[in-house]
Formats: sequence, structure tokens, C-alpha cells
Amino acid sequence: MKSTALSSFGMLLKREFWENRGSFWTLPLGIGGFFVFVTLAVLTALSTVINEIDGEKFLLTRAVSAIKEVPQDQLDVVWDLNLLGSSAIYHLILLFVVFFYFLGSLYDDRRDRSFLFWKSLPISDTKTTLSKLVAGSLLAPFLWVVAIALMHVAMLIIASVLFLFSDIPVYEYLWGPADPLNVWTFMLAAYFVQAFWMLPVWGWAILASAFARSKPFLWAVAPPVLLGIVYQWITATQYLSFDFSYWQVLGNRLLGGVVPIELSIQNDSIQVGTLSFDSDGVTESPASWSSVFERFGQTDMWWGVAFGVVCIAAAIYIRRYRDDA
Amino acid sequence: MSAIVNANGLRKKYKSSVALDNVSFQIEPGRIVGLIGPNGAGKTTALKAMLGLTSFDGELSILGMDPMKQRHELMDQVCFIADVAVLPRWLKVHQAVDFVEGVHPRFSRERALGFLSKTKIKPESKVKELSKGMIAQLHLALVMSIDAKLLVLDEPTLGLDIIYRKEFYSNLLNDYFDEERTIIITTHQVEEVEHILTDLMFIKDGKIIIDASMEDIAERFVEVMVAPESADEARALNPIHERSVFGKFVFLYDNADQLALAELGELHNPSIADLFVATMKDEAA
Repeated sequence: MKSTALSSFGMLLKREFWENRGSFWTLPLGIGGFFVFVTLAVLTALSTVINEIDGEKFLLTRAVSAIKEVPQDQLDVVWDLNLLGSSAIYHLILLFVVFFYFLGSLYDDRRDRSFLFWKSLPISDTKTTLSKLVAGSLLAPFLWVVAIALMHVAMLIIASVLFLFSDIPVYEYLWGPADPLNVWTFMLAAYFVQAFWMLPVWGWAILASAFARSKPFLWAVAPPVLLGIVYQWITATQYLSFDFSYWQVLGNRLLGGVVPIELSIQNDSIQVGTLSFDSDGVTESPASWSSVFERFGQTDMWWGVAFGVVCIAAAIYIRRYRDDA
Repeated sequence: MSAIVNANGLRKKYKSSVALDNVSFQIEPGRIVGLIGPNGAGKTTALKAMLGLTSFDGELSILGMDPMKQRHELMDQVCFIADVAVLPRWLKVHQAVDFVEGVHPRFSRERALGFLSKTKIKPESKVKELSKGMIAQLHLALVMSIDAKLLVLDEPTLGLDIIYRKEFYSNLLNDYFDEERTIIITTHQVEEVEHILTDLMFIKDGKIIIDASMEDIAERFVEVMVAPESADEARALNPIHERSVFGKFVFLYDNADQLALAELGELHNPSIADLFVATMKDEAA
């Protein structure tokens, strides 16, 4: 096979996967395995313990039967919430995984000097850096969503068995209203949008990784914190005032993405997606496609993208021209 | 065919030292050049400049390309082993082969697997599980499977034991080198490369003090072993270095009258190591 521009980029992505297999794939699989194990253990414990207390009736069955009290037209939303809710911990962990991946992306190979090997091959530094950006912001989330999907399948099978034992119609209450495929594709789409939303954060981490001669974590974290202190100090003197809050901008960027579900932080409140509660309970699923893609129409999205692009360009420049050998 | 490397007035300054001081040289195709000098003489800086890894002043073209501006095109034609054991520790052997195949248009998988099959390296092993000698074997196998015009080796055998070192150079010579290719080697272990070199460049304090083919070196430099009673006579002929061996003196001459020397004792060619010691010593000594 002769290498072409596209196949060599694919090879660079593969390289990132090889190196980070543990955090990109084994870790989310392990979390899912842990979930399933705990669920089965709890169910086993519950079924015996409650059975003994109750004497005759299988109480677990009664607990599961609670689903029958959910109005039929809300079952789909309930399942969406369950599926999204059970994945929340993944998204939180992934945020840290990706951040630390980017911190090491252009640093680790300089520390162990293997960058001299990578640099001996005909790959531009632009391509190398972009492959790392894509690996962290798209490939890793994709693999994590696949792992989440596997966990969901296992959990839904467990639920189906429980329903069967509890005389609840499985299709009517589970496989009919639940739409895991929609939830998974929604998560993938949300991560696609998230990749743009987080570009300034990831770009900044990549820049710190390229720049730092040691301690990339400090280089990534200290400047924004120092800037915040300066901001606090300036606002405290009251000579100057801003029509925005630095901490709100920062917090909104870090936590206000669209994954797992859209969070938007306003002055006093945090709104979770389009989730709306009224007297009938939850009426709309948080897996709202339209609101996720609305991000592309917002100016702060594109300011962030612009900042991210500048950071990445600077990282590529440093990677190419600084003499680290 | 034009020169592979063309350097003209190459300069590189670090904060406290001058690594390259107005250096000019050419390297023709089909040569194996030894770039020899003490630590801090500028060898590595010169190689890094050629590989586009460091900035410099002056003119330098490699295969007609500017190593700073056209670095990644240049890497199609140029291979290097910049240091011993710089292969990433997490990489598996078969992944290394797959990777280089995937990104390098001039890499031959068959050749690499052929070289590796002659070693004890297992395809499933990670680099961190290999000995330093095996890592060097792996790196060399990868590099020799790339059809490159120029191969640059910077201390490729440092820290390896003698068996691996000998094997490294014999593989390079037997399985890789031909009249189309050019190899530049820097090393401290001069005695091990001297039989494979076609050209020698001595670099000292950022300057090139000898740049000649091995044939020229053999003609220019001669050693004479002289009995103590003729020592003063020998000194009168301006040796560049003298040392004593078993009560006799060995004098080293550059461009001396060989007929006159022959009367003092037996002539022979100095080893590169002797030449190195003689030329690298400070003039005052």
C-alpha cells in the first residue's frame, strides 16, 4: 500500500489509538463492566433480602412494576432520561481524559525524546498536531459513545429479564418506547458540536503541551487563573467595570457545552437543555437535536473557535521551529 | 550528479558558545562520511541543521532543498537515527512497521520484515521490553527499509555492547549502502567506523579542521616509529604530534617528505583515533 495524504492521516489516528488505548477504549469499557457488575450484584442481593423479609411476595417485582405508573406517552422520555443519565459519569470522566490527553499530546514524546523518531518521518507538524486534535476531540468521544452503547445494551437486557419475571410486557414498556439508537446518535452529534465548542479549551491545552519544557499542566492552568486574579483585582478597584463576568465566560465554556446534555449557565440559574418540568412531569426529552445544532448559530461559539485556531497554529509553529533536541 | 549536501558559511550561535563558525563543505553522493569531533564541537548542531531541526545562518541545501523551509518534503529522501533508543516505549514492533509503511512512500515492508527475521525481535513485543541493542536493531531495520538518498546517524551505537555495534555497521555496509546512497555518521567510537568510511571530517570548536577522503588522508598523514636516538632528527621535520610506545617514539606528520621520513624508521598510516588525538589537542600542548 502506497501512502496517500488521507491514509497517512488515518495512520496517525491509529497511532494515537495505539498509544492511548487504555484511556480511549479500555477505560470506558471497564466503567461499563463495573456498572453491569454492580447492578447484577445489587439485584441479586435485593432479590434474596427482600424476599426473606416479605416472606411470600417477590418485592423486587413490585419495585419494577413502578414503571406501569408512568403514563404511556411519557415512557419514551423516561427511557431517554435513563439512558442519558446512566451515561453522565462517562461524559464527566471523558472531559478529564481528553484534557490530560491534550496536555501530553505534544509534550510526552519530547520528554522521552521519541519525537526525534516521529520527526524523522515525512509528516508535517501541522498534520501531526491536527491528528492529535481529531483523536482527542472526535475519536475518543466516538469510542466512548460506543462503550456507552455496549453498557446500555447490557443494561436493557437486564431490564428486559427483570420485566419478564415481573410480568411487565417487555415490548410495550421497554423496547417499544425506548429508542437507544436515537440517544447514541444524539450523543455522537452532540460530541461533534462539542468538539467545536471546546476548541478553545483543547487548543489551549495543546499549546501548553507544545510550549512547556516541563509541567504542561501548570502552563495550562496557571495563566487563566492568574488572569482571573487580575480581573478580580481590577473589578475590586472599581475604576473599570466589564459588561461580562470573566468567571462566567470561563465556566460557561468549560461546563456549558452540549454534552451530555446542554447546560447553559446564566447569571443565577443553570438550565439543563430543553428539559421542562410541569404538572404532568417531564414532557420533553433532553435529547434535543435542534438545540444542540443551534450552537453553530451563536457568536460565542465562533469566538471560541477563532481562539482555538490561534492556539493550535501557535502550537504547530512551536512544534516545527523550536529546537528541542 | 550534484552534491547531496552543500553548506556555505554555516553559522550557529548559542547563548554562551559558537557551535558552528562559518563552516563550508560539500558531500557527494555515494560516500560514507564520518563527522568526528569532541563533545560540544558542533557535530550534532551540524546534523540538526541538515535535518531542519534547528535554525542557522548561512547557506545550506540538502538534495537541493532548504531544510528549514522544505523539511517534510526532505524527510521523504532523508532518514536519520538521531539518538540511540528514541523509539517510543509503548510502540509494538509490528505497529512500528505498520506505521512507517503507512506514512512513508518509500518504505518496503518486505525488507523490514526480512531484516527483523534475522534478529530475535518478536513482532508482538513492545519497545520497552527490548534491550537497547535490540531497539537499535529495530530502528536500523526500519531505516534501512526506506529507499532514501541520505542517511544521517548521530551516535547510533552509543551505549550498545560490542557485538551489536559491529553488527550494526556490517549490516549498514552489506545490506544498505550503495553508490546511490550517502551516509553521514557521527560517533565517538572512531575505531569502529574507520573501515567503512570513505570520507572524514574533523570538527573542532565549530570549525572543520580536516575534510578529506580516506585515500587523501592515507597520503597526507604518515606515522613513523623512531628510536630514541633519532628523535631530535624526527622533531626537526615538524611532526604534528608525538607519543611514545615501548621506549620508542611515534611521530605523526601532515604532508611531510615521505622519503626523508623513511630513513628514520618504518612508515605506516595512522589510525583515525591517533589522528583524532593529534589534531584535537590544543596547539599549545
